[in-house]
Amino acid sequence: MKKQLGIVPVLLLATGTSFAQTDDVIFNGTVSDSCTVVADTNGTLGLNGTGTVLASTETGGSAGQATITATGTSFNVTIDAITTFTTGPADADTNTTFSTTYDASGATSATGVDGATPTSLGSGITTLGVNANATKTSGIFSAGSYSLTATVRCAP
Amino acid sequence: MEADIITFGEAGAVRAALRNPYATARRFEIEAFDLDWNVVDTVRLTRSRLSLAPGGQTSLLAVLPLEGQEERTIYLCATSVPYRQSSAGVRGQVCGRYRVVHRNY
Repeated sequence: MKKQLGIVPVLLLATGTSFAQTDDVIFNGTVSDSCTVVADTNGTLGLNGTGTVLASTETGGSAGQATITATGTSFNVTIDAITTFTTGPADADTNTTFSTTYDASGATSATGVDGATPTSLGSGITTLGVNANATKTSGIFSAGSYSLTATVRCAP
Repeated sequence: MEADIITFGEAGAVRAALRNPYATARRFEIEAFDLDWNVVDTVRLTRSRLSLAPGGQTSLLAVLPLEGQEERTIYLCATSVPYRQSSAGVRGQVCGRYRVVHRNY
């Protein structure tokens, strides 16, 4: 008889299914390490007073703009070196040197950085202002239509 | 955007994902560079030029040759090509860095 009384409480606990229960539903996700560059605005080249400099920083010129979105901090931004005009008169590239600079704001801060110098991108959205410069080391720019292309590079 | 590829052969293969972030269709050029940003034209690509719709995605396969080296690092870059050109055009280039390592065992 004593043995039977001892068993009953154990059975009640095991069948006690009337308690409210919660359980977790797990959602997993992965954000890949990625970089996106969107060239938003092309720039404009202005000519200086002596006809020796075509640059986005001269009167009538304007900087280009790109938006970079990086999901991590392993990326650097640079601007690929410009070696020639994309279009221009026959003597456009003769005695001409090219340079670029950039400013960064948002997730990254930088001002007047030479295009070849890498800047570590912050995680998030960076707005990049791009300036381009073409300078005649001898002579002046002859009449015609000029264009060049700056390539904003995001690389680990 | 960075990976090590171990190979027992003379080349490593990598599959890279590419997405068009623009609101308009865009053309992209795919190129490979060494660590000094010289073009590596011996890299074989399933496609070196392609167009993508707005937000469109694709993947491409690249075979990166070791060319006698035990280890080689190659940048694989996608450059958006603007349809219109202004006097100072800006284009975007995004690169991944891949290290191919040869193993004998």
